[in-house]
Amino acid sequence: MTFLFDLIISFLLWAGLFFLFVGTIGLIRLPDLYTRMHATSKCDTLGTGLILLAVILQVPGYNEIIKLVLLGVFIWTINPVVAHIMGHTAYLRGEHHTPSTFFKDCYDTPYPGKEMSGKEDVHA
Amino acid sequence: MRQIEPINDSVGFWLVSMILLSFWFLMSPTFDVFNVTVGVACAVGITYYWRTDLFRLGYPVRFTLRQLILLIVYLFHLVYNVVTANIALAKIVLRRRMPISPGFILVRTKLTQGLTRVLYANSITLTPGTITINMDQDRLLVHAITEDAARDVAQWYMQEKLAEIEVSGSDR
Repeated sequence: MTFLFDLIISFLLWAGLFFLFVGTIGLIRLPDLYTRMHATSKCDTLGTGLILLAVILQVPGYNEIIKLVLLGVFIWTINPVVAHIMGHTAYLRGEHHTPSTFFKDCYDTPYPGKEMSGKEDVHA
Repeated sequence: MRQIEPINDSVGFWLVSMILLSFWFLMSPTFDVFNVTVGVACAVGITYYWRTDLFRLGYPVRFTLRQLILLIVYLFHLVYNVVTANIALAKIVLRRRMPISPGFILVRTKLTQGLTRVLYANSITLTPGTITINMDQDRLLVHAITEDAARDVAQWYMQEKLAEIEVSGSDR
């Protein structure tokens, strides 16, 4: 029984490490800021979440568990917000993106983001 | 230097102080004199320092039990989507030639309340191949890492779930 428990915990730890590793590789390999943000915001969230879950299963006492759960909740809520702020700032500043980037609008407004950002020529 | 308004919102002041103090006692479980003194001093002091940014008790947030249950179901769906998003991203990143076709897409949500919109935007950020760049009224500017992800985000099934939460709250 304890062997199974250890197996689950080590699986969670390795899975968390794997996703953090993938996030770092993506940060190095992907071409521009926006695609890199995909790697960092998603993989860091799940990777730290899995590692925190593994630690939660191991620690004794409620006090530590409460602290670790709070840590997880903060990471899961703040990470997308920070990614959004970074992407928004980069978009407003007209940050460089890969030449193959497409711009699409599901609806009727002609240029995506033109009137949203107040910037004329981000799409060109 | 910005002008600091005098304190006229004592309810908000003590509410924020109490939240900070309860967080302090959550973090430090012992109740000796030193701990309590420092906690109270820090809570009141920090609230006093940031007294221009207190809560405004404008609209009380009310929700029904059904909304709460739907929200918890939604969060479980969100965790499932986060896992699948990470696996998809790992597949993209670990290929030798990365099959990416990034782009911006503008989508419109049918959600009306601010809170559910924020929840939806953050869900988009955490899930398959998409990041919300900007939100203005009901329009979301989304960056997608592949074209398939961009196609999926326009009719994402999580939006229906959030709309269901909204509707079940309004017909009381």
